Amino acid sequence: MAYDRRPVLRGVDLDLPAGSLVGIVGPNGAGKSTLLQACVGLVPIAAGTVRVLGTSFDRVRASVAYLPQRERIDWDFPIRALDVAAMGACARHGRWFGWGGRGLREEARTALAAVGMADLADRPIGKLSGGQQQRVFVARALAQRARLFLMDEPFASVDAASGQAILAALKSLRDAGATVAVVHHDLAMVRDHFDLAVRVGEDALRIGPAADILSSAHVP
Amino acid sequence: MSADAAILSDGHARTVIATLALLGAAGGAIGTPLVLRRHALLGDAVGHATLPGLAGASIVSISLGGTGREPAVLLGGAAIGAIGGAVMVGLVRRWARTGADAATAITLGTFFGLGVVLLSALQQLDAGHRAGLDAYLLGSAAGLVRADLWTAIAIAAATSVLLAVAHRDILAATFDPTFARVIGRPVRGIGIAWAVLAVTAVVAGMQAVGLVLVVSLLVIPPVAARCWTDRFPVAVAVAAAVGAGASAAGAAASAFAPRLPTGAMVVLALGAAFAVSATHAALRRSRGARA
Repeated sequence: MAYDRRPVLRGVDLDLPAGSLVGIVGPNGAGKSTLLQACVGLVPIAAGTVRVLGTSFDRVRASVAYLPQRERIDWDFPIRALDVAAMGACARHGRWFGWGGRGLREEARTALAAVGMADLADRPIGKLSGGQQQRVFVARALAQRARLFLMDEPFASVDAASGQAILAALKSLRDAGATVAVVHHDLAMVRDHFDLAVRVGEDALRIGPAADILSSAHVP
Repeated sequence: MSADAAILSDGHARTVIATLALLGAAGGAIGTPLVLRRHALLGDAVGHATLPGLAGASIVSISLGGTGREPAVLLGGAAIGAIGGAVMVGLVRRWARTGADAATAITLGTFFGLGVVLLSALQQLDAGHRAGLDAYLLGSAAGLVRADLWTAIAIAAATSVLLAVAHRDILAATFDPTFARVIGRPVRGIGIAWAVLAVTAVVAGMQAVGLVLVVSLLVIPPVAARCWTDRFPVAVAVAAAVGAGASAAGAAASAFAPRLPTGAMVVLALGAAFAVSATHAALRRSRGARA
């Protein structure tokens, strides 16, 4: 995959097993976000193929939940937590047209409750803390009932309580059989709580059990 | 019957007020996603881009033996200019990798400059015709006719239908276009449909409010509405209401005092509605900070 014909990532040969919690780690600028974006067609691929859930991405779009980095969101936007989560339910059912969204809102409330945000469902997102905002977006991914979750730094600028809530939600997704790939900077958390780790480096990509890839020697 | 009541029973004044109310409502609704996408000045670039279209159409008409003032020809030219402006903003953003603000400024300046050059060419061709075009610069509500009311009804109806049918897609594409693209929603198509609506509203509003001020119809109501609500659908509805109310009030004021220019009165009424809204938001915030 390449930006402006300058290759960013080469020799990517990666196979994420279903039902695993995968941490994507590596230095800034190594291409962690690009890796996720390539999976969902947001950046062009210079050579090779991406297969998602065993088929081409176009056929399983609605089953893929992609969480962009928080800088991509306008936090002043007039929208409540509930409405963000309801987008996930909307995507799941393909109910984009017309009115009558009570069922969608119910599913959105359930998803918000799963990340401990039921009480704040009617808050505008601009009036939530950074961690609560990330939980809302995790709730949207939950409401989508996706089978593959690609999350770009869901733990960035997150308080401890939110971090725990997000981690618990990701683990229960994994336990339900979903594949969860997370770009993450907290190497200790990846080592202790994730199944697999992908280290995105200068030239090569390494994948293996999280504890091996992040043996204590690598952890600062 | 008093003189004031006579004005309101005057068919032309009612047409002007109704046309502006509908254009104000449509402008407020159309402008809300644009303002939230930080693309508020698209309407300004499109508005100014109508000038070379108008002047060019007039020149073509005269050189083909016409008067240079046929409304259909002028509107056609304005629409071509407006579409050119909207397309250029998009292309500049993509090719020059620049933000919406710079792309808007480049487009606005280039098109308006071309328009001024064409206007002077038009004047050399036939000195009498420029006066006809000046009405479009600052608007001329006196020139509005029944057909313009029908155009305003059509624009308001098209906006309402699109919002009613696709409000979830519009919200997703406005709030988080990356998410919408990834799950396969037609983000590009929605953007194009919305740009077409915006261009249509600008060209229609230009006759009444003038191409310099028409952007106010798209920008002031959404920003005022944001002061009252934290929900997107409500913001769209409030923006439409503010746009309709202020535009009708401005048009009515200039009907009672015919020397006041309608376009400018509409914009002043929008400005007043915005001042009230912003004061409300500031008071609410300071009360919230104290509580």
